[in-house]
Amino acid sequence: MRYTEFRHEIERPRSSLFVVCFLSVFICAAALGTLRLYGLYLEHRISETASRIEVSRECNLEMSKKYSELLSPARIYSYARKELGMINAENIKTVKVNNSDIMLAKAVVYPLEEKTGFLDYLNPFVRKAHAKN
Amino acid sequence: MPRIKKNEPENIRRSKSVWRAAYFILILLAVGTAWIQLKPDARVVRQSHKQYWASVAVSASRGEITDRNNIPLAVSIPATSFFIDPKYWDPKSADLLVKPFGKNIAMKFSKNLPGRFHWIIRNVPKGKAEKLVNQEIPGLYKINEKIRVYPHKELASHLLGFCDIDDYGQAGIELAWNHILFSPPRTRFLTRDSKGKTLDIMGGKSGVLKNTSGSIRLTIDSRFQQIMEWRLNEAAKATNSSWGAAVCVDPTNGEILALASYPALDPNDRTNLKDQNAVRNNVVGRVFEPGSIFKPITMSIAIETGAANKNSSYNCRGTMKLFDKTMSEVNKKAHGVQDLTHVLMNSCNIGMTIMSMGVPKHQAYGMLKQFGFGEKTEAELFGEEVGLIKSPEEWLGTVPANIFIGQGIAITPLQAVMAIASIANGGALLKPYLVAEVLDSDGKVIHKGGRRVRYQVMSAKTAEFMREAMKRVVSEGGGKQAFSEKISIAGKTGTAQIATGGQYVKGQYVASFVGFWPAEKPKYVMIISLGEPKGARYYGGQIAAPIFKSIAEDISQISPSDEPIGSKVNIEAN
Repeated sequence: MRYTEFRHEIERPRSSLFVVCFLSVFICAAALGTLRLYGLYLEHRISETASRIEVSRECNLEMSKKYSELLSPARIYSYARKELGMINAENIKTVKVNNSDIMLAKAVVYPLEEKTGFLDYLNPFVRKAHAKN
Repeated sequence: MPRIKKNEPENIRRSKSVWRAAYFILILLAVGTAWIQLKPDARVVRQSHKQYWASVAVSASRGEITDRNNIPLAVSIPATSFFIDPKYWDPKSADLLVKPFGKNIAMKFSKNLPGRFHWIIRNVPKGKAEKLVNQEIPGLYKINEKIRVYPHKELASHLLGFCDIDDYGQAGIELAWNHILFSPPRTRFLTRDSKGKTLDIMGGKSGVLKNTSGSIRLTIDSRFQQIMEWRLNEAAKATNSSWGAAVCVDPTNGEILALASYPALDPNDRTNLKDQNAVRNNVVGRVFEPGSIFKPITMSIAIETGAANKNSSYNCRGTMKLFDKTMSEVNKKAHGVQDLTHVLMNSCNIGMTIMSMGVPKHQAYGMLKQFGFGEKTEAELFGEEVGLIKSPEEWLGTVPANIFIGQGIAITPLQAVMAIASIANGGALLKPYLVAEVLDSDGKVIHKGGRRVRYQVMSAKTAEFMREAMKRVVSEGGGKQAFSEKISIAGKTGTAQIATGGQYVKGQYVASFVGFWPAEKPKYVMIISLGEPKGARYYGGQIAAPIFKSIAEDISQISPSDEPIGSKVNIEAN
């Protein structure tokens, strides 16, 4: 009879433990849920980025077609002839030079002492390296 | 007042155990439900997948083909294909298909159809497809695909080849290098809503599909190619020829710089592919009797075998009785006593006939094989013919003489040009190649084309003699129409009769010119062949030589190395 009368007093610490446990589980579940939602959000963003990449890729392919059409020799030739009035050069001449003459010409063009270091090519006015000749 | 709890009667206690039993059954049901959910039956899974998920094949982009200067020659662009799922399709909606696809297609889908998948149309351009997509017709779905496009239309179409509707190579480089260019279609999983409409909610899991296709850089120069195609088409139309072929190679390494075939073909329009004559690549897929363009080759064989030398002379009286036949010159013109160079300059059949008598037939046959006749050149092109060359046992009567004048043997234009390239480069027969580089999907070079010598078919001395003789053919002999003030051309004309059913048909010829320039140090070797020209002019020297000259002159405007045109001086070392 006494036991039945004070049972609620005896059970109090147990119920608080139960509440703590319940809260912990709830918080964990909520945290997991939040993480899952965040994961879904990230997936959505990846999906969006993937579709943007796809669109860019398709755009790139379309542009590469247009680019190659612009580089078409037929287009360039007809533009050069019709729009710019260009014609084939008639003053092309073939000059035959002996090998010995070529060797001689090379010897004259290039000085004996070649500049090799970076500093030798440094332009003192602009302080930048410049191309030979 | 404290509440006094009454003792529960026995019957109520019993009712508690009933509740427990009920809880137990509920738990059992929950476990059963969980079990079904976690370990479902395979048939149920299949059915649900069909209902809620759609696996859509997404075609990947086919690899690009570019010329030697990286100008794209074949690219893949996005396109849309449409299909119908009869489960969601209302035949009354067929009227909406009339405008975009025509009456015939609309009629086909105006009745109930079996199955779950029916193509309506493949590879519709994006602009046209978007109008239909925006209408959102139930049961009509789209798939994003790629369509192969050749931006320069006819340019290099015979060597590039073409693809089928599924982007699989069917001819030319597209077929030969399909394993590099083709990227198999991937599967993308999409969800279906209650109306069967597909939604991409998988996000990153279906992801960006990585392209695994490689790309190819050819040895072709699109500018040379354009010049060659223009000139060949012009000439073939002017002479009313049935077919034409032209190919230009670099004799130093075997690079094919331009390759053209007439009739031209625009592979972007698939209806053009029905014309078998236009689809055929005449440079590798057509065999013909070469005629006199074969003489430099047989003459070099005679020199190499010792049957002829620089001091040899041949007396031509216009006709010559040989076995049961009479060999004769054009118009039976007698050339008199000639040395080797004059035999070639006059394209003397009698001189070549006499020369053939001194060459052992087995040796001549072996050398012709070494020159690559009767074998594939191994260029990276499908549909290559090997030609026809009789075995030495069949070299009876006038056969050797006929072969020495370029009749009774069938070759392809590519075989001819490679054989002449061996004269141009000092005696090495090279393997022709079209592919300069093959790159994988990451841009890494996985294959590089390069010089490959098949045989040393003649000595450098013989080659030099033949070059000089061929130069005189153009400057003083039968190839004068190829003579140019701007560049020094060497070559040989040829007019071969066409045999049909074992008999030569009168009035049917193949007119050719094969040569190289600059004659002293050749950089280009080229052949022009025009098949079955109709009209008064049908000789190679009359119709093929002038095209050769104009192409060579046009190319000289570009090469070497894109110098500014205007006051251009080509310097050649002797």
